[in-house]
Amino acid sequence: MARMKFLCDAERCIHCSGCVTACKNEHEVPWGINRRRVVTLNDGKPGQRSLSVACMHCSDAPCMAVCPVDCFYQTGDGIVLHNKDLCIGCGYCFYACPFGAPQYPSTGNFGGRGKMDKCTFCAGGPEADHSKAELEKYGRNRIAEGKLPLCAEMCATKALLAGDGDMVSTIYRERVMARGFGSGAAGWGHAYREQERTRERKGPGAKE
Amino acid sequence: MSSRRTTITVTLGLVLLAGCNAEERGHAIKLDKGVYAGASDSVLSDATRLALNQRMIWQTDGPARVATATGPAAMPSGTAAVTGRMAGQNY
Repeated sequence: MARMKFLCDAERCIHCSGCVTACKNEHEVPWGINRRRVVTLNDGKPGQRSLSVACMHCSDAPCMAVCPVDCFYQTGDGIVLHNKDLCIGCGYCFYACPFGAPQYPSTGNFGGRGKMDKCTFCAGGPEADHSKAELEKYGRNRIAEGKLPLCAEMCATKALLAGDGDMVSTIYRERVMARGFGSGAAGWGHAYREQERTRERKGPGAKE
Repeated sequence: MSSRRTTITVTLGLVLLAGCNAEERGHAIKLDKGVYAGASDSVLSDATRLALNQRMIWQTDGPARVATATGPAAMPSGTAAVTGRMAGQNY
């Protein structure tokens, strides 16, 4: 049985936010909710990277562990989904999630957050496949159509990979072998003047 | 008189409480910790899984695609066919 996973290749992500737009458009996600977003690491410094982040569909999901009403479930393909009929909007999953994936649609009286919303891996929810209820609550069910998540399929640089974890890792491994990894890649030290900076740190006349 | 009123009150209370079941409330009331009590989701067919794996080939690069793919990924058909959309829609 496959375990569906996302992987964002930081060497390729150009922060175009095409994945964010594709997700919002496909699922008609309302204003204020971003099921997917692009974050920047080491902003403005050498080694700056962008990463597309959403629910990572953890194999041992902390959101599932903390949910007081057990509204989460995992499909046979390892996709972590939740039932909005059971969700009470307590926000525990938001605090438990290391990726900040759970989103809440509104802030109402008495701190009410509304039902939690998150990336579904384009797999909808517990309602009948392609039903109106499923579309309104969870968005499109592309997986049942035999399609992968749109964010990954629309990625112009193929930075965002989605699908069976084994195949995702195979694709990424081939890329890493082809280009080298991080500071081990050809020309990395020259591009980022690593030797020069090391010399500066150690002081003049220091041995390499 | 008093016992009759008590009987009516208790009966009325029981009738009202009888309405408090999971089906009428639309969601689970009794929770068993760690057990998902909601509606169950559908299971993917083998044809859909195959279609998903075929589409993964589109995410590979040129050299890797040559090495792993036998041809362009086919559009899902049969039970995995697209429903509710334009026929032949790629995305």
